[in-house]
Amino acid sequence: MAFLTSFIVFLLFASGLYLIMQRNLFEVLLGTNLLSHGTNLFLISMSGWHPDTLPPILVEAFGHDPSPYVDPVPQALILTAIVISFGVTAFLVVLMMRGVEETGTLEAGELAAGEDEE
Amino acid sequence: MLFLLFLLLPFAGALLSLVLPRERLPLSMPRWLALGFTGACLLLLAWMTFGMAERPAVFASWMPQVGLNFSIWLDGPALFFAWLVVGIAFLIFHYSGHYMDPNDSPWRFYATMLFFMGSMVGVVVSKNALLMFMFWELTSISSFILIGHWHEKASARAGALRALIVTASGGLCLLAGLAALVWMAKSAGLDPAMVLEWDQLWANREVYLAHPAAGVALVLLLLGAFTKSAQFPFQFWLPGAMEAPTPVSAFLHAATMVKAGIYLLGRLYPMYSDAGMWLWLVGGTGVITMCIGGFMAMCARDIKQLLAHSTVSQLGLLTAYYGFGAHRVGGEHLLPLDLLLVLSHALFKGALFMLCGVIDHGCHTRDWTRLGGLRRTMPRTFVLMAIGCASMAGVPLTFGFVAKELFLKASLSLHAESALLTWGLPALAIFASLFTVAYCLRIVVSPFFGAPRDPEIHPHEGGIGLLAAPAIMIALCLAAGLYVPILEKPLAALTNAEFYGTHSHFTVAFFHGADKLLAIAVFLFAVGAGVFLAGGRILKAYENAGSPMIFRSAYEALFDRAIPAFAAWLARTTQVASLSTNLMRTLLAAFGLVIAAMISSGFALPNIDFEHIPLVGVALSLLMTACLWLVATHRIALVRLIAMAPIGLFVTLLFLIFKAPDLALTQILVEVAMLIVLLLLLFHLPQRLMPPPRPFGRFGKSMRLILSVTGGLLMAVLSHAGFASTFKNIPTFQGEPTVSEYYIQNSKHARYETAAEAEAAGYPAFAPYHHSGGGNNVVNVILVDFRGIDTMGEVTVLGIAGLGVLCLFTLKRKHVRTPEQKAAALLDVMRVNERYDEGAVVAPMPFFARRMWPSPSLIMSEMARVGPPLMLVFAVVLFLKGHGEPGGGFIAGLMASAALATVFISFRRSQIMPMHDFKYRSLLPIGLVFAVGTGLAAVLFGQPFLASVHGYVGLSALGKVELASAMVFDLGVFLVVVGTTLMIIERLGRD
Repeated sequence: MAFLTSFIVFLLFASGLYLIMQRNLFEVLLGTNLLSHGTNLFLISMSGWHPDTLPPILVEAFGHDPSPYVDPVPQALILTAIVISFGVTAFLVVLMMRGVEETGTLEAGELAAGEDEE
Repeated sequence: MLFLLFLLLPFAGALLSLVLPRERLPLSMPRWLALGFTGACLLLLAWMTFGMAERPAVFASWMPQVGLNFSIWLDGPALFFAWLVVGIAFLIFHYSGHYMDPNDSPWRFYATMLFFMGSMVGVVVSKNALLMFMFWELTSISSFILIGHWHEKASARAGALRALIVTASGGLCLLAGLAALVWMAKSAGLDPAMVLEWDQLWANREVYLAHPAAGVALVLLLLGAFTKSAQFPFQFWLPGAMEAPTPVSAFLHAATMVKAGIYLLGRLYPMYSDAGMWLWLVGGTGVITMCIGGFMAMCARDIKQLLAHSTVSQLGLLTAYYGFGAHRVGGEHLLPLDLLLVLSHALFKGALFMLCGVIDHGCHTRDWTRLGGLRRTMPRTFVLMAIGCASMAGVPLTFGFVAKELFLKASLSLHAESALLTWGLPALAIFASLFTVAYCLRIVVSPFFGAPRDPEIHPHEGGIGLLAAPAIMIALCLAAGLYVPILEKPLAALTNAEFYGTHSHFTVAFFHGADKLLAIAVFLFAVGAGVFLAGGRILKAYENAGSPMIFRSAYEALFDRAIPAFAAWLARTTQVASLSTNLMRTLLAAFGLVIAAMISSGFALPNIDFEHIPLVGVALSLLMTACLWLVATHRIALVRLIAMAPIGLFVTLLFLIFKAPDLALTQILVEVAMLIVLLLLLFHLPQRLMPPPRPFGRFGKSMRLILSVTGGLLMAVLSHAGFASTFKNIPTFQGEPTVSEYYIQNSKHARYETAAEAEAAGYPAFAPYHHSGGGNNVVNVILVDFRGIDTMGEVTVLGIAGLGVLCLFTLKRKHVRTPEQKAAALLDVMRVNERYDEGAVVAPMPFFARRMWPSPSLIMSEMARVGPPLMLVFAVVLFLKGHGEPGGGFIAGLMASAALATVFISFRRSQIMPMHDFKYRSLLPIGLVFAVGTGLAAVLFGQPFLASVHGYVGLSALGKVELASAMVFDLGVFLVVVGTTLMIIERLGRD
């Protein structure tokens, strides 16, 4: 499981990083999306995996014993991260649209050049 | 309570001045408001001084770990300074009503003045040094605003900035010094909670003196005091601050704010007076400042500048007095009468500044080389000015004489280890006093005697309104000089009896008989007059040398040239106008750091367990690879987007495998919303083919490949390492109690009933052992209860992202498209759709361009009649059950948004007008109010912010539902999520 997860983390990070280093803003957008997937997986891999653990929904029978459950903290971290990354992506989308509208290009370098002229 | 009211009143007044509807109120209103609030403060202060049996004090613990308490008191010096600040404020507000142009933004002016007054009162009544630091910084900020009152003038802006940078840097030093004190106290085994109270600081002075870093702490604290009180080498900011309106200069930069550093010295004195460094650091700095200030005062043409330099010099005198005080006369502290010197200076200097304003008012210039013979035209001003200057010079029968005598006595009785200090410091002090006599003569003689020098100046006397306030202060100077005991007795009662013991026998009188002091006084006046006569030559020589201002030039070289130049160089060399190149550099540096950390921590490559790889996992990663390949390389944007969807689903699946049902739910719902947003983006991109961006060269391409693969590998290795190390520990939670363990144990019911039990289990003493969240879903309980304040921040971020979207849409467009252009663009889309297969970097997708089709997809619209209502019901269930089972505000919010978004994309806009026109953004503030309100409600019930209560309610259809106050918070989260998501989708879906 550890190897599998880290392999998928590798895939997501490698392709995400490759995309954000492109000139095309659309690709950058896709890249950030992949990166946030990768980060979330990275975080959840910190909680480890074992076939016998339970999701962090408490079961009456175990009382206060924490040992049957999986670590809830990474999950709580990721949950808000997912929602916020949606908000940020939406913001990026609109930023890109307005940028394209004003400059007529999707190229990151040219956008910066346009700013200098003003 | 009264004490707290006294502290808060000025701030309340400032706030009121800012929120009142100023257009509808007369322009004199803010001044009356300021006078009213200050008067009320004076009454309260009088009541607290004379009407109360005991001096009031307020104490509330704030951050005991770092020694911060909200504790205020009115001990002797605090009471004295409070009277000084509020009393002078009252006079200044009276004066400025006659001095300031009524149209000159009076609301802002008086609001800031009140704000300053409150901060200054805060500085002096704080019993806690860290609390004092906070008010200290507030005074710097209000001083910045007030110096820049006429912000149209570049010189005013520069002066304000200079004052801010110098005093705020000093403030940071002060903070560092206080931190050092807390650190020393901790290492000496003291409980940090109370160590920064002044009385505790004095009581524990041995701890601070004995510590090896004692000198560092002292220097840091002194830097705070010296920058604030314009001591060498920071004295240059004060003359620059004279760009402020005269009432500000008189109030802040003569009578009160610059005294804050002196006040701090007075507070530090009992701690450090035994330190060997104190004498030469404080006394030496003071004496040097005296000399520089005195000399520069002789080189000024502008009377206000002259007064500013003289203030620098006098502040040096006060500083030196504290420095000399370290050495006692026959075992007696000299200091009990330090407040007398402060009061004396505040009175005459405040009055002199105001009188200088009267001259400015009457002659429209403050250049003494152009003035003359004002004695006849401005007789009242002349008399007041003469008495004020006499007091400054220390002429007998004035208050200043008493102060000067005290100072000379202190300096003559110095007995330092080194003869250089014993003789050098008093000699320098006397030398500097020569200048004092000289520039006092300059102020009185040059403008007021002789014949008028400039025929264009038509002086006229200031009215009673302008002269009243300075007259009162001058009268006090004179009265206290004629009969010293009227001020000496009450001041002696205010001294720090706790520290100094019983009252010193070092009494003051205005004539002690013919002794050494008298001889020095005669010498000072005789030679000082000589210096005055030579003053013209000094001025000429100074101006011939090009009016050098060494310290100010040094400051400018550093802050106006060196730092901006360095910043520009750094930006030029590290950044280029290309996003991807900058990213590459950043990534390279980040990877370097990670690799360095790995090597230094002895990282070993993990043993990979190839045997236990599930087959389904292999299939999954192969599919993922294929999809990622498409996303990264395919030419057609739509294909790339569609390939993103399965990746999201795989991640969802992985979350399920990792036993995170909440995450899986969230992820899959976000995927829906994300896909809609991204598809809408494609629809909106300019309706023509994008020119494909310039491709990278072979080097650039391979660099990017190498970097991304390295990054991916690094993250994979880290993930594997983290995975392996937690694998054994997490299921059993062995060893130390972890925060996860705490959350699980207390999620439903509190684990421990008593603090002792909790501590025995290894919890730190401050853990809220009896707290429980009342929910079975630990993730949700963490979000809305344990870490509710984080979640509040997170939904705020989400809301801000949504508002950002809204702002971008409403931002003025540079190119407004005409209807013809829009039609042409629409035709473009049709043509592109036909050429779809030819391939393009970005191609709009045909099925989504709903305005192109007579009606959206029939299947979609029929589905949308059934699906969304069901989804909404499901959202309600998710929300209500979320505390105990998977669900909660975030997930329910996303579900509801997905339902409504489905409706949006399935129908034409005209069919669902009310749903489109609903202002989704209005849900944002409502949601935030719910979230913050829950927290505040807990505070109202005496609980910590966001503390929760819970109980059960039986809802027949859903079974037993947990109703926690955290649910109201969760409702806030729900509303923000729905508001933001729908606002974005709805805006994107419009034209």
